[in-house]
Amino acid sequence: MPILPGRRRPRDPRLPPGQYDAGDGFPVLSAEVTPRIDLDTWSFRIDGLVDTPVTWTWPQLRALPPATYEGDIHCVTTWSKLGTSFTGVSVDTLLAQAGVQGRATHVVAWSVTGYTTNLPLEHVTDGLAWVVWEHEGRPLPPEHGGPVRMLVPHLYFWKSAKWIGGLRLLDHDEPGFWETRGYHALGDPWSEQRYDGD
Amino acid sequence: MTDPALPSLPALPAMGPAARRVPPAGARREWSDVEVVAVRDETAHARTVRLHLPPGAEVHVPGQHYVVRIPREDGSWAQRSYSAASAPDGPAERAAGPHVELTVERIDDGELSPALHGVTVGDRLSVRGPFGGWFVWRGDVPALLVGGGSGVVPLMAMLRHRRRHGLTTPLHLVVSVRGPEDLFYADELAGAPEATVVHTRVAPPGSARPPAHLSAADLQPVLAGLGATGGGVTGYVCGSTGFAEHAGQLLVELGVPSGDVRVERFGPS
Repeated sequence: MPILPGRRRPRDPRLPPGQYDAGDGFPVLSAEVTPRIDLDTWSFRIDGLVDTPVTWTWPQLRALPPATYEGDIHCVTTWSKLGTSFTGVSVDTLLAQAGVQGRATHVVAWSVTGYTTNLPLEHVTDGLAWVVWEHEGRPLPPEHGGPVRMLVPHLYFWKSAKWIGGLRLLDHDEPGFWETRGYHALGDPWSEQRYDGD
Repeated sequence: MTDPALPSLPALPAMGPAARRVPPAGARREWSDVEVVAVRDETAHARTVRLHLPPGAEVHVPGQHYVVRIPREDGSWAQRSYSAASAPDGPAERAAGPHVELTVERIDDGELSPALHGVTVGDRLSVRGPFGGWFVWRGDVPALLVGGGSGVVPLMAMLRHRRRHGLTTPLHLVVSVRGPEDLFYADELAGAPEATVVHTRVAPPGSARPPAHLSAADLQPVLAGLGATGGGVTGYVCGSTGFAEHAGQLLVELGVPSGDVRVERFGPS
């Protein structure tokens, strides 16, 4: 079996196992054609097991208290981007307006393209998830999910749905696009939960 | 999605049916040590390694990929995904240990690909797979395959699968390369009725088409030849981010519904 040299520099402790530092790069991975989204007609909706389903237009979303994430992101294809930043609004802010019902346990994040991904409710609350429209101070480019995407940076990045359309709260787990196609239900990079059964 | 507890909710958009396929051996695919039984240069920068998998190993579906890992001296592993280029083996080969070919483009400052270009027959590699349930073609729907450079690899598995079984499902491969010397599988694609090669920088002598980027004019007659525009054909686009964005938009502009275009974006590795 071939063997590679040891790494020249000590491994950055921010890198989960099996990941490499993409540096300034920001690779693009998505399974569909990048949609062209008109913010004049786009909206974001929270429905399902909430007291009041709420739909925000783009100006309404922008009027909410902004929040910025500064830290790392990790793609299942083994790149990580360290020390980056995204700005938008905390999912906590959005859920507070809708009112989460007690029996809600999971959410499905869905995109205008039809992409979906499932998340346990406790993985998108208490400061763990955002709906974002800026990357490092600039508008989020379409190929990176712009104008608006999810950000759940403590999980592999396929959980951070691009071109987000809304969140639906459920009382059960509903596997999404990749989760029904061989990928892990949760996707914790620190446990290398890449594929089904990992 | 249907949810009996929430009958009044509107259906969410969807990207097509999903079949949750758990392999017979259990959900997790384990690492296997496999033997390299052949290596072959495709171009000056791309090499195919042919692997002999264990008897009974799952056979890939055209379009799927494997993960290859190589140990480092410090005990850690480097791993990357590589698409299968070969047609999937049948039941008899599977029983004896199926073969799969991975074509690896050499990235000079990459970590894995230079090492994979150094393997020789008899070496062993650690692999896991096959993976991927979206960018796959089972031979059941008319397909327009559009690849840029090394993006041809998973598409070649589809074309070879069709040839191997003599399938009549319409399929056409359009592959875009800088010049003739950058074309993978050139012997198999030369003169192939189900393949079109587009050159972006250097056209071969006598070519009627001057070198230029892939355009709607390249794809439109192919779509028409497949018997449909605006529906009925599934597009499979694979290549770099720039190529995939460009080719995907071309297909949509030509009337292929965006929901019928499947995209695989290759990154450097």
